[in-house]
Amino acid sequence: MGGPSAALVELANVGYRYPDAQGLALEGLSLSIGRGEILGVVGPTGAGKSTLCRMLNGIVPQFHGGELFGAVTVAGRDTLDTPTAELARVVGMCFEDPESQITATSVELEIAFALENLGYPTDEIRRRTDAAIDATGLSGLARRHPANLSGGQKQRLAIASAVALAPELVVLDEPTSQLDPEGAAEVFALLARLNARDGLTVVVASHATEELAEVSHRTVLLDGGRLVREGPSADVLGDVEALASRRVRAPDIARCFAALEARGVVATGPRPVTLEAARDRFPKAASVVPSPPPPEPAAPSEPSPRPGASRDPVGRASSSRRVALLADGLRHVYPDGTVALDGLDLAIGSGEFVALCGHNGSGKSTLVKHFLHLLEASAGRVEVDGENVSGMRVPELARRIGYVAQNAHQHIFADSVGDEVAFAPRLLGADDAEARRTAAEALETMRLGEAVDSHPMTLSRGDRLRVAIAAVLALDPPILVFDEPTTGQDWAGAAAVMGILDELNAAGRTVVVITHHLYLLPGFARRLVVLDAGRVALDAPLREGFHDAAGLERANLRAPQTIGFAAAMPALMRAGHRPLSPEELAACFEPSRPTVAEAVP
Amino acid sequence: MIAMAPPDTFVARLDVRVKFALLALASTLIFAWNSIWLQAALLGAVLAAMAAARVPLATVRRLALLILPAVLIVTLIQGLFSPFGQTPVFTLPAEVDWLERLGLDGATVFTREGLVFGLVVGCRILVPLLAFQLVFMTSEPNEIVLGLVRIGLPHRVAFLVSTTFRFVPLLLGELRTIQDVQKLRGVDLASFGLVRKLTAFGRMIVPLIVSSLGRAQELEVALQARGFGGAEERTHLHPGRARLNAIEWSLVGGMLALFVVAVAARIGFGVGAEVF
Repeated sequence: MGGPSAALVELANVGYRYPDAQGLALEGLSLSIGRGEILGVVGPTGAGKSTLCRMLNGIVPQFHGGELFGAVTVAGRDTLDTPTAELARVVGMCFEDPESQITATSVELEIAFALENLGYPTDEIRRRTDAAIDATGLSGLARRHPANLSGGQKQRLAIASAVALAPELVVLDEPTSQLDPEGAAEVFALLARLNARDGLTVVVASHATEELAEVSHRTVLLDGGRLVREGPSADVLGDVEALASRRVRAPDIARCFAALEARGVVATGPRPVTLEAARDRFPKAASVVPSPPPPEPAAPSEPSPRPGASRDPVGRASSSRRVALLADGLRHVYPDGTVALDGLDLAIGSGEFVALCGHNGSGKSTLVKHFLHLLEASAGRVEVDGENVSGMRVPELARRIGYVAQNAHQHIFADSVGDEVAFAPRLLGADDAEARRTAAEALETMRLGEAVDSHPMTLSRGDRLRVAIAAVLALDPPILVFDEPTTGQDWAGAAAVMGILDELNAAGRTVVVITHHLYLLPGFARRLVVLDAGRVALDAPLREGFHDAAGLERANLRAPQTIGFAAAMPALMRAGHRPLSPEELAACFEPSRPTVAEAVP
Repeated sequence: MIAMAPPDTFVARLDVRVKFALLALASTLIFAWNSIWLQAALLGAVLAAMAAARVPLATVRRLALLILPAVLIVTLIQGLFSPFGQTPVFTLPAEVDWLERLGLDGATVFTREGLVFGLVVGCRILVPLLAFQLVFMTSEPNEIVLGLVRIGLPHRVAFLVSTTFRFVPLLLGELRTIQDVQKLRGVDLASFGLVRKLTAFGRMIVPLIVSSLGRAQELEVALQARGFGGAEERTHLHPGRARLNAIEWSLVGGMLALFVVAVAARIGFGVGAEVF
């Protein structure tokens, strides 16, 4: 890895206020970024990460306006005096959503776009475009339309366009939050490769701390617009308590070591932030608690642990409970011939909390769209609440199954929270008093009772999502489907969403959640269903599912670090331990020191 | 996305400016001429160009079917009621109850003049449509942008055209999601009458506009970050030929001459003014 050398970026006591904003988005920020460095930027929502990123190419303040204090210098240029178009030659930018930054109709034209804008000669454009295609592993795709790339490829294309223009410094703002795990891994691997090979300086703001720990040299922690911690990534990301107090999730493995310290299994000290370092650090002598800790609160139905063990899909949900959702031999072929579902069998019992995982294109959305009767099966049968969906009318269906789409906070249309939530009951014939009452109840469940008269746009993103959920709850459907409800939220926000789902489930509703973030599931979902190539690749209680490394790998997924770490310890496995969380992992070992109190501040 | 015709044909290789000329010629002359014969010749010429570009027959058929209902209605109405109607094709049978209720009694004659007028209207819709299809199926979007710039449009405007291509499918996808979400909240568009349907669409437009504005701002930031408008003179990865070659010049010249002659003949001598 190219170690950091002379400073490329210099921020001296920088503050910034957005136009019309009360407080400062950034305050008293001093930071220098060396050439050849990979700098991670972490912090909760609203910490100022995006503002910092946008400051580096002058978009803040040149595009946004507002007031900038202090000085920002990039490669010797002051970002106040140098137009963004000029800074573009030294700072490449990548944003969160690949969809809204790609404008051209082929890969090579997309990469050439910025070079064309700045008037580079054609042969220079050709040379740089080819080099960028090569460096980002997009060879062979030069003529491909960006719409036909995977999410990871799209984001690699955005990186290629950035490095083609600015081969020294690339700034990425949440580049992987919209990607599936495979795409996210591609992006981080690419950044590490470009850094090692070409000495590319990288600034990357991200919630993905495990990946940051693998690739970044240094990490800064922002909160409330201030830099609160800065240092080598191993130090900052290993400081589980400091991160947690700022609502940032430390890498899973660092949290394991914090829990092990608290139990007195390992000595206090710098914590490993990667699996590799953890294996070196873990004491060989640590002795395993003989009997397994009590299993998770018994899920009412225990599906068989091995995929395909039961041929009868209904048999999965025990006979004592009703089947809420059923797909039997479900096949779906899109008009272009793509087989999205290929004879899929799945039964979800009433009252279950199921996580539906798998890569983009594995068939998750297509499956859910059948339960919602947005798609017709090419073959097979789909039942909701014991009835075939194909004959169900829209209002009937809406009362049985609720759907909270990805980015549901964007789908609100009414002028007041109360009207939004009362909309569906009114539409389906409730009189005004009744509609208001149901809406009030739904809002109460979402703890938004106070907000009934507010305009939705005045609420935070998280609260708007609650409004959208309340609007679905107003029809009181016993089954709820959530599609990636935590996208774009920080750890605290995501955990709050999972908490909501858990409450709804505890109140007796069947909950199905589609997510890429496996680490969010322990403590919430009871059953894991993984799809791959239009079939169920793995279907097991969460604990067995997470510990079925081979099954996950077949679907190109990986369990959180805790599970991988535990699985690599034969003694633990022999004793029958299958820990799901850092705390459970720690509980598997005998304390080797008498006291634990002083380990945690 | 529009499916592309094979890139290795004479038509596909022509500079996009020549295709613009063809498009302009076809969509103006078709309105200058009333003559069904001249219109048929123009339709034939456009179809020949499409055949030369190896545009699949299915594409032509799809477009023809698209306008068929409108042409049928116009033909029927004109055939029965055209004031220029002289030559009877057939006469509606007298004393048919349901025809009389429509105001059509035995005296109503379906005329050849009306029938032909319907065909003329059909040609006026179909020919420009086919010419558009030909241009878009044989030119890459960036060629179209470059062509627009070379005939004098500012790059920003030309860019707008290409961005539209890129974002319309995205917006349609978003609208689809919003529709799905509302359907699951009981909005059953299929069961709604026209007025309720329109109100329901209005409700779907609100989130669509909000998200489009957000997307537009994101796009603008992304464009700024990539030096959009950063140089006086934009360059190109595939500049193509800045100048037209001799064949292309003669094609453009020929089309221009045809246009001038046709318009002059129409005004001076009334050539093509009569339907027959």
